[in-house]
Amino acid sequence: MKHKEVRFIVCALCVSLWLQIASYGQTPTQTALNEAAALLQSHRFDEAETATRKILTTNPENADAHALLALILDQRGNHSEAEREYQTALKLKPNLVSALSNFGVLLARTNRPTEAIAKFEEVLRLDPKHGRAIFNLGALYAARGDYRRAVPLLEKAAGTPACNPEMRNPGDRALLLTLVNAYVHVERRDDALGLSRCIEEISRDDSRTLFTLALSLAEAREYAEAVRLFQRTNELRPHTYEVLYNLGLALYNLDRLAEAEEALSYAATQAPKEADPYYRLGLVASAQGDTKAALAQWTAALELRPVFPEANFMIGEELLKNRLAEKAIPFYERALDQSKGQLVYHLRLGVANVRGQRYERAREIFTRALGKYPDNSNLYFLLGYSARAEGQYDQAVAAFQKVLKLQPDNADALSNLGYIASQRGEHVEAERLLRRAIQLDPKGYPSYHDLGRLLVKLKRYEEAVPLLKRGIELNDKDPGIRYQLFLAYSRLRRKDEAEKELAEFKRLDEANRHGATPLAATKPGAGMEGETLPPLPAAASGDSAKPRTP
Amino acid sequence: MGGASTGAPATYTSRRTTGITDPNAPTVFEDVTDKTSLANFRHRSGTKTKDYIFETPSGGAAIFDYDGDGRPDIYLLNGSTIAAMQGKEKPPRAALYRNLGNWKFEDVTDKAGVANERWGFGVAVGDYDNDGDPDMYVGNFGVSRLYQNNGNGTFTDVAEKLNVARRGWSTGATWGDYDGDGRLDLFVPGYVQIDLNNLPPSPSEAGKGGVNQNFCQFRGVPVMCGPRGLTGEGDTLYHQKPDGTFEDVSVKAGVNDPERYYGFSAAFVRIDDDKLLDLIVVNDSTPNQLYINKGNGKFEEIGYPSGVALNENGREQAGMGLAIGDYDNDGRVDFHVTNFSDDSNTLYHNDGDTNFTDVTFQAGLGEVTIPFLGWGTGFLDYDNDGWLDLFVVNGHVYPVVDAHQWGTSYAQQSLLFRNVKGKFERVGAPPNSALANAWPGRGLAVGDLDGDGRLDLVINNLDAKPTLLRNVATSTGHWLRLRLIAKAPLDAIGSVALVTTGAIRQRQDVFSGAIYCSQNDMTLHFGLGAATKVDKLEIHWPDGSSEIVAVPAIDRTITVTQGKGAKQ
Repeated sequence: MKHKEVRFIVCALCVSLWLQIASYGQTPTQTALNEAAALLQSHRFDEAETATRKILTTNPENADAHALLALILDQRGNHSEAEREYQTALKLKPNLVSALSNFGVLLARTNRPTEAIAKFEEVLRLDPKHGRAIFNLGALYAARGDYRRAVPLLEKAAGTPACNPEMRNPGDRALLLTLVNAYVHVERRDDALGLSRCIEEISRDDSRTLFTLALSLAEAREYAEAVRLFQRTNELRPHTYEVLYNLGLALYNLDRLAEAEEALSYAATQAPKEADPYYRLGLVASAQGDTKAALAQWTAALELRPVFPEANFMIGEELLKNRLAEKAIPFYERALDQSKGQLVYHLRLGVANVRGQRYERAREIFTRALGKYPDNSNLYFLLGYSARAEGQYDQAVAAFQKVLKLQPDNADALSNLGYIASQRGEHVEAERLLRRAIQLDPKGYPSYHDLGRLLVKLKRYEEAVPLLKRGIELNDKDPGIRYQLFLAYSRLRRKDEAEKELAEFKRLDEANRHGATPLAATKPGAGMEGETLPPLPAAASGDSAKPRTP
Repeated sequence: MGGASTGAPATYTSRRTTGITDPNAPTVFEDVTDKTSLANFRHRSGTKTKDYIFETPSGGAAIFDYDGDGRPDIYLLNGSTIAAMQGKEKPPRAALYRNLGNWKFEDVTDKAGVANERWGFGVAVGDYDNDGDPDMYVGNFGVSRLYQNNGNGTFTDVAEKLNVARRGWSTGATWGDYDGDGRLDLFVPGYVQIDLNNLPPSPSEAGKGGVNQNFCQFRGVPVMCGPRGLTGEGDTLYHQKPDGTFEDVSVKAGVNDPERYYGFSAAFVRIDDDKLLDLIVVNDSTPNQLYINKGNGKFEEIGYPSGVALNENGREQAGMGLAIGDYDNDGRVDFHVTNFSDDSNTLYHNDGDTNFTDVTFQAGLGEVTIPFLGWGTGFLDYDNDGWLDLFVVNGHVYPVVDAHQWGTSYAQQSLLFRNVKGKFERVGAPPNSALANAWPGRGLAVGDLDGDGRLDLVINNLDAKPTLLRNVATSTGHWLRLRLIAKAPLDAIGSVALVTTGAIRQRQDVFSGAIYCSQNDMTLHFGLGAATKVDKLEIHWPDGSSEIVAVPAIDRTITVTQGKGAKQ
């Protein structure tokens, strides 16, 4: 997206430059400059350069000539020399608007947006109505994600109304497309959709514009509109890989999985050496619950592109989802090896090791990641969680306390500290921590479970019952909390309720035991359940229901 | 495929089941095995790779005075092999070692006729025929035996004759007179149904059918299958009839285990205050069972409401061994159950009214036990301070754990915990000491083998020689040992002795079995700390009667005969 906008700026400024140059007057030098500019306009670059250099031999201090030479050199791809010429021109005439503007274009094109923005801002300071500078600056702001600044500039550049049937110029459409994108990002959804419909209206048969508009809408998560436009584009330009691929993506994001599968499969046939469709087909299959198909698609993607961290990562995710942590670990490791900068790879590799009961290895991964992301509370939380799982309570407490240092109101950390205090027989402190955790996160199931369990242990059965019942409201799938409630009722001699809870506990326990996913679980053979752990908070672990890419 | 490096090689520093030593720790036990003939015993159980579940849990040990000479003797069960079971090779033999005193033992197996030569798992001692000589029930994988003590140094297997030749896979049995008729009855847990002609897949056959492969993996690595995924065995209660034969009353009594839990350890013991023997059964990977004796020949199973079925989180654990004792001196018997690695052992505190609370972690037994896979466990007051300490024998079932950095190991150190008024502290292992050594331990038996007032231990190790640990702790307190003789059953199983010294009142029960498929010396051992006299000795006899007995002296063993008082 960024690249596309910068390229558009350059094209727009070529016209701008010529208009500026053509306005020169009648002195011999000016006449010569006009002639040189005309040669440039005719793409006769050698002659234009020769003519301009000739002017400079006799008028070395002519800022306009330096500016024109800079433009010619820029057009010929000699950016470094062009830059020097712009600098010379601006040294001679600091307020030379055309040089500033065109220099801005060069800077944008050579991927130096911050310097480019400075140049366009200078242009607008000198000439607040400089239409191209207004547009270019808006486009640059948009490109770097500063949509709040971009929108008023782009609106100003587009005029009122922003869209009308007379706008047939590709540059105008590009402006409007940029404005649509900016509207979406500043949450002016209605404006975005209104403008996009206008663009669609004036570009009814322009597949390129429709495709670009669809991409913008897709990027803005307006998938329904995007799908409609991709489908229209597909009618205009059938069998096009990019169109089919993006249509598949948008459909996937709308959970129209069968249609997504169809579009992506067709895209794959159009570009059989592209790995991406297979990767996306894997996501679709995973969302459809077809693990085997998902793994096959991602494996196919990896065969086409061995260095594909996302595909390795997703295989890891799918295996982990199927409780095959041991098998998942090598894929996470490979993803991390191929893309070390991704925090989520560290996190999930560590989580897989936790799930595989390789707690020490998990702690090593989290500790190493903390070296890279020293203030990441999720990493500290997971470090504490894996230490807790291994019964290394001192280390767990230290890690959870680090979380609290970063996030004093982190209910999950408080809850875990409460659990550990409870385990250590520090009952008063445990109760304080768990009650605080509930106060901060009234929907935090583990805290209700652990506080209820603590009260049962302390024989405060009457107090435990409502907490445990609230916990069950939050999570009715965990047999553990039913067991605590059963104990409480049983010891309160509320026989019928106790029997009911025990039956429910046994039912859930049995369901859990046989709840293996299609690929089967690595549930160990002989009572190797490990220490009972609360579910990893999704915020910390990265667990998610739908497959998603890092 | 294959993994890729994520940076520097991993450095694991905490394989926490071996090599944990403390140079400042006192030496409590000395390994004297090699100074005795027990060093010649070699346990053997199946393949080195442990392809099948029955190759991993053998076997028990017993300390009991079979010849009545006042010195406790040692019996060690052996395993076997499939080839031996099929008659293709000579089977391994169990061994009976007669205690000659002064740490000399004589192998009297042949003379006594107790080689078993079957795949042995559990041994429980009880004088079932009330003739004053201890008899032995041996639970086998195959046909179990009842070795009747002939009173002349020999035994006769009378299992078939008396209808207790249980088939299948029998584990840690227990004797007890549950119906108060004065004759010992026998409870035998069953573990897993195994058909040698249709074995589950071995690790080298991973993925082949028969058993859900979920139950044949450990951390993703193929291992022997089970017990989950395999069919369990029910349990058996044999009631002794007046003619000395037994009848299977399991169903009638309500202890037949219709769920077919994987039973390992059991004990008749008094849980509540009704003077009847109750029954606890520790099961592997399934809930433990607690049977309350209703007094009419029937039991009520209350494992769940009592709290001992599961751990405090409502999770069934891989119960292996069972220690029985009143660790906090509150007059009620508590339980310690050993479990699998990656899980803690569990201490169940008896709150009274048949309620128990899992107090493992707050008692100091949680964090430290997680990497260990525990087997035999017993409460013993090793330092005679009046508080029951705790010993745990450990060892993994999967040899493959040594090939991975999983924080655990195949051979593991044993754990000794000192009881400090109800809280346990691990006793450090001086480098190169007995506690620093690692073994693939299984059975454990406790007894004062040299009569010095300090409790010694014998450990039966899988595929290895046993370990004989002599208690050499210094600064120990006074002590008193009680040999109880009841009217019936004569060996006083089911009796409870309460010893009061100052503000402390200790309780000890005479029980058979438990630990893990093993048998402690039934002589009760009380540490008295600094007390120089016993203020009160109260005995609750199996028939429900109670008696206050005058203790003539301490630091010695005295025999108390029901209704006749004590004598040295």
